[in-house]
Amino acid sequence: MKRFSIISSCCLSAFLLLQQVGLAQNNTSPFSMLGIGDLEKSNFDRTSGMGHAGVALSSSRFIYQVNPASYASLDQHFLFFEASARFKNVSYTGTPITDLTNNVSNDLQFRKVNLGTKVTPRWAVGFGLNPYSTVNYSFLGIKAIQGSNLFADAYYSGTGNTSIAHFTNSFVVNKNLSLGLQTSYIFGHMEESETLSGQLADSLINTTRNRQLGQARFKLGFQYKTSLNKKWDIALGGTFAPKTNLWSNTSIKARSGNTILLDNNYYESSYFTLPATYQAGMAATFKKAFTVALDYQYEGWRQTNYSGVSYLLDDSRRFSGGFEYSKKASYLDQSYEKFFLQTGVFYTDSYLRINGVQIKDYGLTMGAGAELSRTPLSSLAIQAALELGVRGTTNKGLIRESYTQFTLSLCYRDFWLSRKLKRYD
Amino acid sequence: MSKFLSFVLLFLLSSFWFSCKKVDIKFGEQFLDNGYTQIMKIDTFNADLATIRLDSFPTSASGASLIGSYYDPYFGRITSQCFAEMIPPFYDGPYTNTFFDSVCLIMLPNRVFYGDSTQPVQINVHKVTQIINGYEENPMQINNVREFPVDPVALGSALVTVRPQRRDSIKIRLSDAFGTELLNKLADPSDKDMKASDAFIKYFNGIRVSASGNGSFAFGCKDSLFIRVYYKQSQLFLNSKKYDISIGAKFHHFNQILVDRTGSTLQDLNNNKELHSSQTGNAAYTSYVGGSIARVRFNSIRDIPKLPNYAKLLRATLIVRPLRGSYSPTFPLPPLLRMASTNVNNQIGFDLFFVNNGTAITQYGNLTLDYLYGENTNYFYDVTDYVGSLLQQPTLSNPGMLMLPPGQSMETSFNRLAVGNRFNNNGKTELILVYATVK
Repeated sequence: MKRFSIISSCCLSAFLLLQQVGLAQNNTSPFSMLGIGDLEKSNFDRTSGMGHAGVALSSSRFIYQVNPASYASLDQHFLFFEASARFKNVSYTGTPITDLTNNVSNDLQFRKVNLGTKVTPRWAVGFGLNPYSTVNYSFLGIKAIQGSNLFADAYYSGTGNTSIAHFTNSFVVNKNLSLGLQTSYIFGHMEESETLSGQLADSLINTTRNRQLGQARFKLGFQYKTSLNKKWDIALGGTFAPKTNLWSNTSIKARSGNTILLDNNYYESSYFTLPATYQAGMAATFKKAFTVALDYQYEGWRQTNYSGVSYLLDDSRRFSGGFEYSKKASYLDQSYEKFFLQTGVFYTDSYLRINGVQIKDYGLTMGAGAELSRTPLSSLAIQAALELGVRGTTNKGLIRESYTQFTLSLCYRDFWLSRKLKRYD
Repeated sequence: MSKFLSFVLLFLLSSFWFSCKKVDIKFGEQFLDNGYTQIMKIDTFNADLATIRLDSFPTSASGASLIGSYYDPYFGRITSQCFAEMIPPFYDGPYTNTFFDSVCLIMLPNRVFYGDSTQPVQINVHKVTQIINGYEENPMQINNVREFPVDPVALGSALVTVRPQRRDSIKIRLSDAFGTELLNKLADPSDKDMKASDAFIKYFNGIRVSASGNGSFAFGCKDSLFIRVYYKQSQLFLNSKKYDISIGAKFHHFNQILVDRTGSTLQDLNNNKELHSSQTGNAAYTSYVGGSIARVRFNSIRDIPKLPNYAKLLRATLIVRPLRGSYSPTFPLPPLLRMASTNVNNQIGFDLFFVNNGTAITQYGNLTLDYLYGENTNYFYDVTDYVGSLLQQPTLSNPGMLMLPPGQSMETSFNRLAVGNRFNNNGKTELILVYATVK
């Protein structure tokens, strides 16, 4: 009955979160009109407080999403469920920002839901839903009336997102090496809308372009862990995701008042290419308490040859590093983590190069978490991360976003398929 | 477990308590792929103009008397004279011991005029020798071409300088014999003509007021003209008195308006039902009293849907530009000009209108005047619905629209209009279309 309750609550939570993930966010992101939108750099896990570094990290208690090989380190006989929400506040500056009294946006959104369990001593599985990219922009503009020197008022907006639904298998090769394969399906839709108004028509002219995207993607990962001596443990990790062509179907609907001008559900079929992605990381742990992690990520967007007026998609790199202190305690000869504290930094050359300037994203993170052991919520752990960052620049007519985001994750763990274990423990 | 469930639900629901704020940031308009829907404006569709001939039109009960004659280079010589049935007032005699003084016709200008008002005009008043009646099929109507015989000897004449803007009354001294006769009949107890309208009309059928000669001026008066007999009556004192004979039935008051198009631009209109603008100096002409009406048609309108990627007509605007030099403060344009639907018989139909708060309001063109250069003088019409209705017709029935002054003033006003077609550099009438394309 208890297990049924757990499953029920997880499913309910997952259902609600899935709905939330699909909702458009409120944080305007002017850059998201390019490419596939703003790529989500965070995995909303324990790496959020460490500058998003964690390719080489794993845990027996927490799911590290970045490297599928990390699932192999989870404790057996447990079910792990994690859900995260993020509050983000963004302040915009730059030449395009003319109203300094209205240059701040904020929102709260659920960002992920993950389940994982270690089925056998050498095999762990996980599945979940994570964000991949988001599109959200809107502004008032004008549109030339061809054949005249007149303009129509125009309102442009774009919303949408892509998500990753994944199924992850992770295998323990030996006591040092684990491998992982994440089979995922990237899907989503983006809606771009243009609404023309003015004195030229008795009703608004709205053109909506919906683009549906989807394709399976694979991600391979490994982690190698070893102890240098009694005090130092080191770990190496890496992932690789090959180039993936997302199929894309575009539908267009144009209407003026109640008059449908065009309604074509199969207006255009094409592909959007995600480049090969490489991640490498290393971590060193001192006395099982102090951990330093460094990550590097590379995405070869330039090879996809996406470009437009004054912009192109360029190779993206991210450097991130973090430091963690983990306070351990013992109970009945069992060591457990009472809490942890984290900090980290990151620097990203994003995949957008606009007006010759590659958009950069850098910032500082801080995190903390604790298990609620010996409390009525003893199966629960909480992670919190605060991130202060800057994206973009005010040079060359661009926009700088100064953002603060707070991520809160609930990490639930309970026994799973443990009847035999309990009976003889 | 229930606590955990409660916690999770609380966690989920708490998000809805956070306020979210979104801002619009105008950035990256050039990056957008917004070429699917375009708005196009074109003025290449032809507004085909012609002038149609108006055989006759009702002028009875118009509320105005038009008198005078002038020559218009577009329309020819236009001559107008007014006929009116007169009736005596209620008999309040006896008129004993009366002495005739004088009798005159008094008219009050209504500020309508055309031509040179500084020149005096000879006004003649004649007695009509036939009872003024309407047509058998329509007794309440008399058209502009109707004529009734008159006594060739004028009741009175006067050379008058009309000051239409000052609205000074115009007095024309009539024959003393006529006045004496009236007064004698009033004084005669056995006379019945002056005691009842019907009897008086049989006795005195009415008057015609006209201007003599080929003048260059015409003017309008109110329909309140009357004949006034001045007399004196010997009572305790010798009192000066007056006796007014006024207009009778309004529908027996009408203006005979005749047009002689000889030598004018529209002289060929006498022999044709209509003249295309290409035959009349690339222009069309409206003068209702001159028997001409400009008509506009959109013959190629069915080609609009053939435009590349055409999706919807957003706005159709008709700009009517009077010919430069064809108007002036002395020869003004109609301040209000309506577009009336018509049929193959060129009958006047419904006016072009727009809807404001559920009320249909006639479009009068919102005249813009530019006397200095003339380039900005135009009438402006929203013909979106009209063009849209033409596009929806299974087969094109395109009778066009007539350019007319408002119904209540078209037969009482001398204002006229000359508009150019697309080839006329002095004033092009344009149909401007704004439409949406979706590709």
